[in-house]
Amino acid sequence: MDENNRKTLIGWIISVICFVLAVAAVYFVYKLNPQDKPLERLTIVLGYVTAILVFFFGLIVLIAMATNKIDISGLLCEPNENKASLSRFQLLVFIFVIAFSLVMVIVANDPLKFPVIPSGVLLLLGISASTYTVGKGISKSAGGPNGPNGSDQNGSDQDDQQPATNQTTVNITDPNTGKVTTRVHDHDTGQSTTIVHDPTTGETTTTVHNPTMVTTTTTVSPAPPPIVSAPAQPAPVQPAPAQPAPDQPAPAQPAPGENGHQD
Amino acid sequence: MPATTLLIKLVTLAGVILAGGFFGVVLLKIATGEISLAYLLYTKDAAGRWTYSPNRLQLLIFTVGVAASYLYSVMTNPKVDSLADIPMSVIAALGVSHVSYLGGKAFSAFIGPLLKNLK
Repeated sequence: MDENNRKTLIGWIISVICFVLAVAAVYFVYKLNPQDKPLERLTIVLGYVTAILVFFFGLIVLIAMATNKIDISGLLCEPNENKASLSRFQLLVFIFVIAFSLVMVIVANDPLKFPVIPSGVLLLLGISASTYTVGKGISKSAGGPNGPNGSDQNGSDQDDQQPATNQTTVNITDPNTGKVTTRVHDHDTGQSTTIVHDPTTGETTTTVHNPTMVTTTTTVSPAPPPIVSAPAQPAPVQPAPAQPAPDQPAPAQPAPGENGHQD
Repeated sequence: MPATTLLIKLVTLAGVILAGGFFGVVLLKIATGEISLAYLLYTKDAAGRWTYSPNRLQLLIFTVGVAASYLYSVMTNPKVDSLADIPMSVIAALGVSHVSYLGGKAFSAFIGPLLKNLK
C-alpha cells in the first residue's frame, strides 16, 4: 500500500470513528435524559460533538508531531540557524508550567470549573513573551548589510559562523536526455529543493518542498535554441560519449542509480 | 443530568490526554536531541567567536527556578479557585534578569562591533 492510500485509509478510519462516536453521543443523550426538553438535548449533543471534533483534531496534530509529519525540530531555533534560542526556551518553559498548572487545578477541583488567573501570572507570561519578541527584534535589526534575513556580522544570535547546515545534496545526470537533477535536503528545516536543468532547452525547474507547501519555479536561461533540425542531427552523436569512456567515464555521466553525497 | 456529567468527565479526560501528549512529545524530542539545545548558553563576541555567556546562564537559572517553585506551589495545593499568584518581588527579579539578558544581547549586537571598529 503506497503512502497516499495509507493516508486516505487513515483519514477514513478517523472520520468513521468520529461519526460513530457522535451517533453514540446522541443515543446516550436521548437514553439517559428522556425527560429533557429538545433544546436541552440539542445543547448536550452539540457539546459532545464539539468535544469529539476538538479531541480528534488535537489527536491528529499530536500524532503528526510524534511521527515527524509536523516537524518541530526547529522549535527552539531561530530560522536558518542551528543554534538554540534562550528566548524561545524560556517562553516554552513558562507556557508549559502555566498550562500544566491550569490543567492540574481544573482537574483537582470538584465540581470542575475554570480557575481565576491572577495578574502575577499574566505579568510573568507578558515578560516572557516580550523578551522573546524584543530578542527577535534585536536579532533581525543586527542582520547586517544583507537585510533582515542576511548573515549577521555583529555577533548576535543570527550569525554567519554558525555550525554548517545539515544538508544532503544528490546530483543525478540522465544519460539519455542529459537532464541534470540536483536534490538538496535540509535535515534541520525539513525543506527539500529539487533543481532540474535541461541543457538542450536551457530550462531550469526549481521545486521547493517545505513540510507545509510546495513552490515550483521554471526559468529558461539561456534562451532555447531554435528548433530547426535539432531532432534529426543529434541522433548519431549519441554513441560518441562511449569512446572517451576510459578517460573519464564516471564523473561525466554516472548511471541513473549513482549519486553523490556532500554535507 | 447524567449525560452532562459524562460529557464533563470526557472533556476533562480529553484535555488531560492532549495536554499530556503535547508536553510529552516536546519533552521527549528535547531529551533525544531531536529538538536541539546546542549553543543555548553561547553567544558571539565582536570577533565572531562563540563564547560562553553569563547573561544567558543567569536567565536560565532564574527561569528554571521560578518555574520550579511555581510548579511546586501548585502541586502542593491544587484544590483552589485560582492559580497560584506570583509575588511582585519575584516578578521584579525576573524582569531584571530578562532586561539584563536583552541588554547583553543588544550590546553584543550593536555596541560590540562599534567598539571593535574604533579599535
